[in-house]
Amino acid sequence: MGRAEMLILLGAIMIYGIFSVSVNDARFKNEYRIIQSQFEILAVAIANSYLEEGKSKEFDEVFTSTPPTTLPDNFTDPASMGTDTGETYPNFDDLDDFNSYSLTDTSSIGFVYTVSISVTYVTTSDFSTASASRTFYKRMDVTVSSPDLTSNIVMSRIYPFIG
Amino acid sequence: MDIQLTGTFLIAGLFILSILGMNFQLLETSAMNNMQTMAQDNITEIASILEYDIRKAGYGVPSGTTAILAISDSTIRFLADIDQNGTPDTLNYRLSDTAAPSGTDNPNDRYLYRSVNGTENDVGVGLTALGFEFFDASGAATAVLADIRLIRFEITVQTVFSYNETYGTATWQSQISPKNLEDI
Repeated sequence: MGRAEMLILLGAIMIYGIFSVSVNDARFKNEYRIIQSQFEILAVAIANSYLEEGKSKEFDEVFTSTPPTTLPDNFTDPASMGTDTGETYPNFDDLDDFNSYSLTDTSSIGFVYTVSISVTYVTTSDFSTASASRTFYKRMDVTVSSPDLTSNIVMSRIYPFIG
Repeated sequence: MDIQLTGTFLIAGLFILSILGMNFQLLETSAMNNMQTMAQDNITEIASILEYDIRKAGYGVPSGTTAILAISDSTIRFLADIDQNGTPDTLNYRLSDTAAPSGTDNPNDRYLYRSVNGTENDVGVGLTALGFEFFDASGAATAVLADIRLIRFEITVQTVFSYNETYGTATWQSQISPKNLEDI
């Protein structure tokens, strides 16, 4: 075999090697994505269940007894959002009880996750930024984090006050 | 035969075999992706049915009546006025045994049966697991029917057919605190 043919052969092997590594890399990434998607759909389901649960609660603590006449001024102070005395999950009676709620659990398939929830007031002009004052809209952010996820799953929902 | 020609044939043969192998692997990966998507589509449908009904537990049930009638690790029976006719209906969820879905390749899949007032229909196929957990108002696990305030369920769905003996799999977990259980 001549030197030129040897070089062509080495070149061919090199091209084949690069091709082979690229394909295997793509396969590995794809398999990884498949496994990730299994965890992600589970994380989305978990986050969604809390968002759905929020819909079944009163908009504010004030509506668990005789509602005040001045709204939204009599809603819960933004700095006081969270559980009230004697309230533990799932015994929440209003939406902002979920604020600062956190739970770490393991699913039956071994998915270890942590749920963290925040509830804030928002305004119609800016649904993404927490309002420092009381408004007729609350936003719940549910974050599901896990060592099995490449990034946290964050799901949000706006809950309007419907009088 | 010329040794160079033999070598060329050998290398070319290996190269072609490798390409074919990789092509096969890509097809397998593509098939697995599709099956995964199918399992995920299926599980969201089944979960939405379960969530809709469980969320209604206790709805339209007279005050003082325990809406949850029976529970186990994989079954639930409860009262809810699901058709909104003023009379509470009895809903029951259970899994079939693995022999019931006889037309599928998957030996582990089962039907999910939903019955309303005793009339039973299968509402999902491909389930391989259904688990319920029940919690009271303080968040502690409970088996006392009247104390149940939070219902957590987890389902696993697989595709009914396999590719190289591998099934597309998806798991869904949800927890619901039915609003109408609080008023009992």
